[in-house]
Amino acid sequence: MNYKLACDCGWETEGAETEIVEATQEHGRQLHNMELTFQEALAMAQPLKD
Amino acid sequence: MVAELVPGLPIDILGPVRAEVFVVAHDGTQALLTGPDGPQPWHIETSNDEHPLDLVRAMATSTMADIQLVHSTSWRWDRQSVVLSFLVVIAAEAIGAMDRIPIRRADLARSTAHQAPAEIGSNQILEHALRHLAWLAREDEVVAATLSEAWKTELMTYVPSPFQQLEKT
Repeated sequence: MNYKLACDCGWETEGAETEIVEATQEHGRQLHNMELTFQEALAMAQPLKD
Repeated sequence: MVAELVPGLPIDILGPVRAEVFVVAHDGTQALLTGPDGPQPWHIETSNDEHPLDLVRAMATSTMADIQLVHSTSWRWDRQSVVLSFLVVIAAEAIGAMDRIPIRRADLARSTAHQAPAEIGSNQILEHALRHLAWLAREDEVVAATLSEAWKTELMTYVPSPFQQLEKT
């Protein structure tokens, strides 16, 4: 299953669970000084319908 | 009777504080708003172990080139956080692939003598920041020496506003 995740700043990512979580963790760390756990990042994602 | 002082735990006064960064540059023709997040306020979470100014400088330096000035310009209460606003001036050449928009003038959000403005837009915060920068360009030797002539000319059109928070009610 693929997911979509959007940050408040407008940044978005789409992909498989691990991909979007890693991308979100990197975005949070690099641009917002936020350390997100896997579950915190995943909780912000929306599943995409196939 | 004199009450006996009982040593207790120190009061742990901590609260949420966010940094909001406006990244600006001047291309010789106009002032531009840009940033790694695009031309909008860039939000950064602060931590308890680092001065917000140091944090913003470090984040800006790690994501952009040619940082010329980092300055705190205002604060406000927003969405249950204290928001510290910063102006980061970069060289026009450092904009690179980042999106940018021309900065438009705005009226300031005025408080009363005892109350903060009910609503403050980000363009008003940027207007206030640039008025603050206009004042620094006149009064602060380091800022004056750092800013380009294009910036100084641009800032001549801004009313220097170090202390214009209050208006008569």
